[in-house]
Amino acid sequence: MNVARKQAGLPGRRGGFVLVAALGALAVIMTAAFMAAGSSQMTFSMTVERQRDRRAADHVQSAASILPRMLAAPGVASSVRTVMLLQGDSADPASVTLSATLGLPADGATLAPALQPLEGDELAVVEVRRADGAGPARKSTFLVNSRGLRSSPILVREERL
Amino acid sequence: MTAVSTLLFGLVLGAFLSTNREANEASLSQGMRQEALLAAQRLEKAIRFRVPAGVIATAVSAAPGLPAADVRIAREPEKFSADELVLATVQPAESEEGKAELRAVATSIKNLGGVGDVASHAYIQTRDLSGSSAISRRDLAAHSDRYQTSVSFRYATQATVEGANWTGNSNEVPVLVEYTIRVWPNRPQFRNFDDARDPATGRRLGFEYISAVRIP
Repeated sequence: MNVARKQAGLPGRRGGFVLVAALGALAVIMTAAFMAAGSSQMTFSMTVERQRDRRAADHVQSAASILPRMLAAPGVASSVRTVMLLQGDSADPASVTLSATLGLPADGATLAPALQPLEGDELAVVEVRRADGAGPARKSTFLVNSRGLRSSPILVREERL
Repeated sequence: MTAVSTLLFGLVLGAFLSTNREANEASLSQGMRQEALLAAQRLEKAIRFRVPAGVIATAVSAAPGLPAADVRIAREPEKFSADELVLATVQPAESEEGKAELRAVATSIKNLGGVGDVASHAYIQTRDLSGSSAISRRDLAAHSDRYQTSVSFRYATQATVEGANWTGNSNEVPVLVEYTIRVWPNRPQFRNFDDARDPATGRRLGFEYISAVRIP
């Protein structure tokens, strides 16, 4: 073995040092590679979650656009009622469950100081959840007017549950 | 024996170096993608809270002690241009007594920097119209130390199933806002999105995200 080392020009002690240094370098690079790969994987998972959340926001906006059609007719007393808009497939992770609660009171204190209350104002809460029950839900509160005094629903509050 | 060990070591080292480079590129690419999505999320949130300008103006005009300039901003706050979007919005907040309240806010989204050595960052600025006129500003994205960002807009005043006619500036409230968010590494040699290229391959390093959102 010593003869082989001498033939290769590597004295025993120097050869050992080279071996340890090489293994050390490999370990450092391997650690860096694993860390970068792990970071990439984590960022990807967060990106997927962010996209899901944006899709949930899209669902809420779609539901908001049909809220005016679900209001009580002018002159008819409005009552608090919850309407299931969409019941998703619980086996599908991309599927959502969407519900809206209408007829909640919108008093001046709720809207102050930015908005003035109008006759016929009420609040509608739209909630979207993943149909399989996993992940956060999104709950948005809209100001709507059953007398048609507001041109479109106004988003006044948004929460992630 | 030594030759085989050296060859083996070289192969393993090459594989790790290659893996490390690929993983770093993937991480950078994913990071920029996430940064763009976060910026898009914040931008769309601002748009979702839009209210027609006249609705706020009534309340703001009635607010005692409000400077005339703010009343004017509340009445004519909205601007739809290629490099800036200004909207009248409401913002859930807490009063000094800890009660939930709704504040009228002029929200502006535009770019800062990008000239000389100053890094480019898209930011969102809100100006309180409910009386205090407080201004707050924050980056649209989260990691301004790592990435530069820019935002630009196009608008469609009419949209049909066949499509929409997009314009860079709109004098009336559009139906749709198309936004382009560009993210690229925050390095001094990359002055803008087009400059951000891999020196070895010439491949573009930045990430571009385009989407459109309906104006409420």
